[in-house]
Amino acid sequence: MKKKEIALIGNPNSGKTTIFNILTGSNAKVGNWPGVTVEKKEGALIRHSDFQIVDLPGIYSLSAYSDDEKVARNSLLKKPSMVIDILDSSNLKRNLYLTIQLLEMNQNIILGLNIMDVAKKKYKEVKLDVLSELLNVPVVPLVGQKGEGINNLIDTIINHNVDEAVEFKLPYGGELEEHLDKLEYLFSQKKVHIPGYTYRMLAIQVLEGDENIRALLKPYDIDDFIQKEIDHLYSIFKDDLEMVFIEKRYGFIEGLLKKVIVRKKTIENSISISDKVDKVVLNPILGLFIFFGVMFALFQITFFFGDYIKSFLEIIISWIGTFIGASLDNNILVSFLNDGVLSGVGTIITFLPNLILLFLLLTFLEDIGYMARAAYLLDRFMRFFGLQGKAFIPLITGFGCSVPAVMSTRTLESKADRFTTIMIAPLISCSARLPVYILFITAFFPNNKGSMLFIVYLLGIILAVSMAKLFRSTFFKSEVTPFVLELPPYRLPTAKATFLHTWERVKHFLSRAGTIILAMVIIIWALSILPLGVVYGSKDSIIGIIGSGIAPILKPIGFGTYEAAAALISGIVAKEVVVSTLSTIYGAQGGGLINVLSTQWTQLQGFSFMIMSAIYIPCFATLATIKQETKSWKWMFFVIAYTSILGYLVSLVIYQGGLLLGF
Amino acid sequence: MEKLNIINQDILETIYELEKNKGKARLTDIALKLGFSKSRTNQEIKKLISLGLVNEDKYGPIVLSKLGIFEAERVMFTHLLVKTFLKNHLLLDEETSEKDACAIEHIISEETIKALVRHLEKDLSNIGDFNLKEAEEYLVKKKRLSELKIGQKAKILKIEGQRTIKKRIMEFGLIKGEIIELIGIAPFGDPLSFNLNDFNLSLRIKEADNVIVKLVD
Repeated sequence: MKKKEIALIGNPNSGKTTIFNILTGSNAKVGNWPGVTVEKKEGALIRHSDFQIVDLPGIYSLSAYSDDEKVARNSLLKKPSMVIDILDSSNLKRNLYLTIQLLEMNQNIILGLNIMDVAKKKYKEVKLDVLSELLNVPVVPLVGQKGEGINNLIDTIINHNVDEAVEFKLPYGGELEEHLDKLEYLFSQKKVHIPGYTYRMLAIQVLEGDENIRALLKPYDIDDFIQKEIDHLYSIFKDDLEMVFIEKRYGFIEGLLKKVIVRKKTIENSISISDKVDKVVLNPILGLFIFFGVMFALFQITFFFGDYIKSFLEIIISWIGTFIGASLDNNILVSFLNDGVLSGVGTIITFLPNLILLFLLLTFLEDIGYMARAAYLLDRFMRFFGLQGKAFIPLITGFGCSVPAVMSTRTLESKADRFTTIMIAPLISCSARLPVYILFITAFFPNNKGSMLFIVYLLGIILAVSMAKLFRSTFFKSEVTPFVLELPPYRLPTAKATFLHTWERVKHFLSRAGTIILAMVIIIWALSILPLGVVYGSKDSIIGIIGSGIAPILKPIGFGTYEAAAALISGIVAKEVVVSTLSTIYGAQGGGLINVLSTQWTQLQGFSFMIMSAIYIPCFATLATIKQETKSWKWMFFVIAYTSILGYLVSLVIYQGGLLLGF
Repeated sequence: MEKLNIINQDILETIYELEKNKGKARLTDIALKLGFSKSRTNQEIKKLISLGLVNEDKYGPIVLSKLGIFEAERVMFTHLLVKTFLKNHLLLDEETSEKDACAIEHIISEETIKALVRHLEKDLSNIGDFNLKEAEEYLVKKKRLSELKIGQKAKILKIEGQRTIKKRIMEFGLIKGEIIELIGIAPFGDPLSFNLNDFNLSLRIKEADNVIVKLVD
């Protein structure tokens, strides 16, 4: 038997995700919609696996502007067996707009009136039976947070007769209705057939000025007629027709709500708790302090506790390595397991503590409603760099690690914002680059350690924001997406929902980025050990040969040696590997290595190298994440190319400029 | 929106008058009337286009957008009020009244406008073709959404501006007749946060500029 497909839809902040999690009992598969970076989740209905639930993106309307809306619209056009529309009952007016659009698409819908507990406190009465009768759809009251009403919803789904639906017709009144009729009649005369659309839907959308529909209707040779209709109506309403339709829909909703909601006689003047909190949290001065406090805590928890667990994991991994080394005879096999597999798996695993903690905290902040506030507070500031408020979080996360930084760009809805942020995130100096900086600063600037470190970090920030501005004015020219942002009431998420959401993200990282990281680390291993018999990573290995080949190119920026080139190449595995490669090559460690460097390199060469290692190609893990998040190799290679060129240019300026100035 | 300067306002007023009297406003006529060079006028008009006050059209006559008309009418009403006062009550001649009204119109405060109306309505109910009360309401109550002060409530009259932005804003529930209140301003003065019906939302000044509202008490 074919599974019945149910689409779950609703406004952002309507509690849709919670309902989805309960309905599917967390057996959901997370993926992406084809061609876009919008997350797709689906799962079977609990206890009734013949129903498959697809979670559509949270959207306010079905206009096909954003990727989210396009995805939702296209899946609805394929006519799922039914659509569950989740509404925030305490904010019905705006939530019903989407409902009306769904009804006009002729979907079989079930309304889930969520957050009913708040609505009950707010209004004297919400007449669900009236709403159900007026719209001719089943209505189920829900309190998703407490799981109330879920059984009722499941029963309604199972018993909902999908063939019985009556066509919904919002009465647009006099003039509009007359011309809709005219168009519908014309479509039937011309035997227009466009899959998924009724004549009325076509008529409405054509009058609304939908270019796509207009194009689909081209073959029927009725374009002139349509244009005449539009012109005629425009001369009457003196406004874009789609605005007229929006107003009519809201007018209809207004009338509906008059019958459904009984408002309390005395309007309680008490400000809601949420608004009271916002008086402080959104205060222009206090709000910023709170924001930085929250960010500081986020950073501390993620990287302080995360690093604890991380170093613990690293110890375990080195134990396993020693154990493998001791128990096997075959050198190549040991090297493959230790330098290849284990260091690959190790790289992935050591990212995990930071990632999990960060995702947990970000998910919590998002679910509680703070993210929207942060975006609001920082928006003006971030716009100096061509970004929007929410981009702040990925950038600050970048100081810890670029991988979660890239992943946390998911909170940015606009593709241009998101891709710009992904492209520049690796320029922010992550914590893995710190050992490199410390080595070189100790070797070459023993008297100005603090200020030199500050300069390197500052350079990263300056480059990141300048590149943001550059990309924004070239590749990612701002599409006109207005910054209309809901500031939802604060709501405490359930622990289960937060963990579930975090786990989904981690799983996604492991399955996608994990495999790429592993593969790339093994490739570098192979390059270091081949041809057989050479000393690992030495001048005679493939990586050494490549290093010697690259060396002349690096000459103008001060370090045209095989050692430096090989260190940079291996640094792509993970930035801190630059240090260990240098120590292998020079056969010196710690203080010894510092001595070797400071005697064999000039101060200017050292500085130039340090800057290069701060900017050039991000590590494999970051690259893999960029590939995964942008869904394209193109952007990954673009990052490789532009960071190499940028690093080279900056180092060139530093080295040649330094030489000129006589350093 | 950044506050319009005197030249912006003069150009808007000039275009408005030319459209009204001659049917269309051409660059040459505007330049002539203000005594500017053509290239300077062209530059100033480009600025108005970027502010969304003049429609973009390279070859035709210069046409005010609906927001442009709104801003021009504000200046024009103020001009009429001041001029009528100077002429009728201070008994200045036509030329002086006209010239001084042109200067005062740009800097006059809302309080003074109210006082002028109180004073004028003692002996007349119309200025020019307009009802005095109407003019006052226009100047004191009609605002762009971005001009509200914290705690002020207003009724939405009209959404203007570019189609996609207009649609987004409207679909979000900013519909004619709804009451909206400014509840906060973000650091650095932008974006703004509002309460509408049952929820709070945030708009950038640039978007709030497109919404014309009327203050309610």
